[in-house]
Amino acid sequence: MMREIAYQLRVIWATARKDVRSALTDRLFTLLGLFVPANVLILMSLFVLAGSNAPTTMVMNDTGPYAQAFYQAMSQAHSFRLETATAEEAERRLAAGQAVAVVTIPPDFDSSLQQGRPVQVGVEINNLNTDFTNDIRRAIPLSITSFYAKVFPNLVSVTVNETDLYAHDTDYIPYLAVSILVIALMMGGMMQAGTTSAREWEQNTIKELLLSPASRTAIMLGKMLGAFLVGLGSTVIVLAVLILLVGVAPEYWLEVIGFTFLALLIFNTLGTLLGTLVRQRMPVIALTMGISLPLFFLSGAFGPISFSTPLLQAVAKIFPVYYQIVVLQHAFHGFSLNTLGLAGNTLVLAGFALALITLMALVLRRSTIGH
Amino acid sequence: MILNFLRATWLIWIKDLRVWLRQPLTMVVTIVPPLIFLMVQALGAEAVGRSPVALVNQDSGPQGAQIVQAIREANVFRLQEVDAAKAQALLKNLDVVAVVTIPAGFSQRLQARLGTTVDVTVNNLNLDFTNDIRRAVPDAITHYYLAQGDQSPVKISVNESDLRARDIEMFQYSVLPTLVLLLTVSGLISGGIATGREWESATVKELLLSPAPGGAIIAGKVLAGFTTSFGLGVVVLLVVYGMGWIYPEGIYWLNMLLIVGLVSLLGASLGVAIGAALRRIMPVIAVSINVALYLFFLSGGVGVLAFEPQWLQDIASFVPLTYGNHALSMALFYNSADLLGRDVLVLGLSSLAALVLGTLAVRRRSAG
Amino acid sequence: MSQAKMPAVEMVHLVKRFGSFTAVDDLSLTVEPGEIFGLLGPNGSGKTTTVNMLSGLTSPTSGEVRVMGYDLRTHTRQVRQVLGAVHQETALYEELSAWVNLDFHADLFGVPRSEKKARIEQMLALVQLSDRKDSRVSTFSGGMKRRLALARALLHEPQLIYLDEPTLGVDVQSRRALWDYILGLRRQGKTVFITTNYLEEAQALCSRIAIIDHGRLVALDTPEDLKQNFGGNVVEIETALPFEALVELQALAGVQQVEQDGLALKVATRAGDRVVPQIINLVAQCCEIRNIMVREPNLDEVFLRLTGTALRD
Repeated sequence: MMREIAYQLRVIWATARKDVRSALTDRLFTLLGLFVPANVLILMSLFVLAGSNAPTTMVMNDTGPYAQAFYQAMSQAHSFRLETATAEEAERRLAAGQAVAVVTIPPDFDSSLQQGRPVQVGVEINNLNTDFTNDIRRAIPLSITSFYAKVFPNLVSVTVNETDLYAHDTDYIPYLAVSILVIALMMGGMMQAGTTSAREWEQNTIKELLLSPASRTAIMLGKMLGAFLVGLGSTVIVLAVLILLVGVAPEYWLEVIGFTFLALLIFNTLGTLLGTLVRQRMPVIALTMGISLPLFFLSGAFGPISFSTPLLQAVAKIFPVYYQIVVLQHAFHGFSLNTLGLAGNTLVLAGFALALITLMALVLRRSTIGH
Repeated sequence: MILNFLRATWLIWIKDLRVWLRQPLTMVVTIVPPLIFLMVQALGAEAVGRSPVALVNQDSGPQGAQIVQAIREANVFRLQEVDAAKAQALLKNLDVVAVVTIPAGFSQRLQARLGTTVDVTVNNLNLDFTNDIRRAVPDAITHYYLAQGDQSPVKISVNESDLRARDIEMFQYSVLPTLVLLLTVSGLISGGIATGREWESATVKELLLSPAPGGAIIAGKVLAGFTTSFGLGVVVLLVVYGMGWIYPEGIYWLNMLLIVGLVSLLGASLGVAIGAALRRIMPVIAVSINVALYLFFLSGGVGVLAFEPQWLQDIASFVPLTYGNHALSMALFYNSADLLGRDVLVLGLSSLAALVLGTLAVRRRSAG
Repeated sequence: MSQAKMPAVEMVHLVKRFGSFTAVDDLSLTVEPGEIFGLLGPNGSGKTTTVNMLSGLTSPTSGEVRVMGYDLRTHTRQVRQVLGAVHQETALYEELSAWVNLDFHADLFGVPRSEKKARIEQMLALVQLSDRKDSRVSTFSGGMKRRLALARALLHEPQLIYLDEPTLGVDVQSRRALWDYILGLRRQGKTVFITTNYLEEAQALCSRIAIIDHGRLVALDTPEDLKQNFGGNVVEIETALPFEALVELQALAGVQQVEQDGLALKVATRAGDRVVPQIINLVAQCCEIRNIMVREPNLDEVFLRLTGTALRD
């Protein structure tokens, strides 16, 4: 029995070592592969860099104090990136897609307000998508109420009294970057493990493995270990980018380390499974890249999935990405994004890992060579 | 000589297409994820910009009722009207982003011309949702005042005009980055692998030892990559058009197809050039994935380029895919051909440059 | 049955279907320990499917396979321990060195750690690759790769070695060297199972040959007995003028096939028939005979007669 265990452990280690050696001989692939997760993190973070601040051109046909105060209110509405311009320039910018809205303060703005007369602010919107469009549509009323609260506090008696659950807001990027980290780990892990596994089939070296007396579980664990070891490098790099470059400091370091390793394990297993099932590198890559974007939007990257529609909530819970985002948001920011608690989410992830490993072993056990 | 070139190009084009058609799995895994992504966006459309909120009315007067009505009619939330205890439970269980409470005595205070508040408790773990609430509540309050007509103390109103006759939903807009990503992945990566594989499996000897010019080899492979990418892109376009998500009009269909074609050509040219330069599948995979990532995200990714900082927009101006995005959005959403000539020129020249690079790579040395 | 008398390989009513296509159709054969056994067949005959079932890479639709007495279905691991395989496409890790390939195989097959290094060195010396032990396999010629694959297959001291097209694409010198190794294996008491398309290889190495076609066993015997039983003498005649009575020649009882190439006639006869004198008489009646040779058929001709196709179609 002990000899048997020793033999299987030897097989696991030998397979892992072989895969790591193979990866190291393909230096360009390994080097570039190390940076795929970091690249994903940096590039996707760029996409969210501007947050939801709409580039807006103000046409100030009145520059009186009320108009200036209104401009101030808009700039503090957390929704606009303001520039002033003439009407012609504003229209040009709107048409060229350099601005998404033009807000025109009429020439009689101040005088109308002084005299208590109605006044219209013109808002021309490039209603390109409802998400951005509605942000603008609502930010204008916010600006109006802020303006009144400051300039005519006695006139508008209904104001908002906000209480926050957390002492401070978490900015857009620190929050989203953690979600992006999960996708980055997924892409890198699946790509690395999947292509390594598929290559065995493409180049027929799988025969060497399938014809050995080693258990297929041991072979599979060896391949996963190899992918894990290779993936460690890219994990360290992407965490360094997140913490040092993006500036997101973890609240719970041990959780960050533990859950990142768990993510690597799960995605490596998924990649190995995928590579074994499809047996070709190209579909592995196409699928990995293709599902990253849907999963990113599906898995509560932007906020708790419970804020989404019931159908999306149900779909998100099928995938480990959702739970990974939950636990890592807790690790970095201390947030609880669902009611399962840390232990519950960890159990679910462990369940995913176990299920995938079992499935992987089953697939490999039933693998044959067709002619 | 020209006939020889064309004939060789045609033969290699057909050969590569045949090889591709024998890989139905690759076809499926390239096209299914983008379609799934669009479905996901459509499924989540209802939730975009409308956060789940619990509304508690502790007031018993008419003004309290009016403001509740205004909040309902503003349609800025997915509202649940509950009591305070239930609202707290919903907030704790993350079923709502915020609890909006009309406090007791709201109507009395308003009637007495005293200041009063609408209390909002926000789960501010995420600025995106938090800012949505911060915008939406004042929006609802403004609706309340607007309903008072001439009696409203708020004299500023908004005269909105929109560039397009109808709003483009988020999932409709996402057709654009989805399409671009599909074309990029399909062209770059599959074109690159298909070319690199020729060297790795030594089948390139068959090509290099034939009378076919190096340029014809590359052109044939690029055309095959272009055909497959373009075909997949058209399938996506037809699907979303059939679902009523996009509605380009008349000639803008042609513009759209032209740009899809040019982006496909660019992706395929780059992929083949990378494959011819590196000649082994693993490095090709590594390089083409990174190139695809950079091209896609630096040209705007899933967002709107206009929202990005100026320095990022400046970088994007050097990325050929930016012009593809621009021309596609013009055709899909603006029914416009603004700067089409510029966009076509950039995409065409970039593809040509990639073609030349690929040809030079083939001629660099003999196979092996 | 004692280990010594037990067949090395037993295939009993083996069938393999892929959908509606039957690749192997009720195949039964036995390989004795210590022999070099050849499996021949034209392309698409079911050879590779048969050996894939032998090694466990493919499961049979029905029937049994036993290797060294172990049922493949219930004792897969034991079978893999006693089997050493050299695949047609070698299945070596090309990006790794020869040494690393062998080192990995040794670990995979449980070669005792204390013996591992010595055995690897011994195998590399056997196949004359010691000076290239640290070179990447991708830099090896086809023959060198085959030699390395053979060394790998022998590393764990298997009792049965299966070689799939062992000298395919290999130069003449390397082929001779590989034949010597294979014959050496027999001298060591090992059983060798070869699939090959080269008749001269089958003749040079195999104590017995099985010929399969369309998944069925067509013949199983020693090379000599195959020639005896399935091929009569071949008469080759060179005439002074083109022979014109081909129809009459073909009509002779005992004549199987007549081929004419200019002045050269080749007449294949059925086994056991004494038609040779009649052939010579008929030809002599028509024209002067310049040269005449009567010989035994070669395996190619036997194969052609049995399967209707040449081995290298």
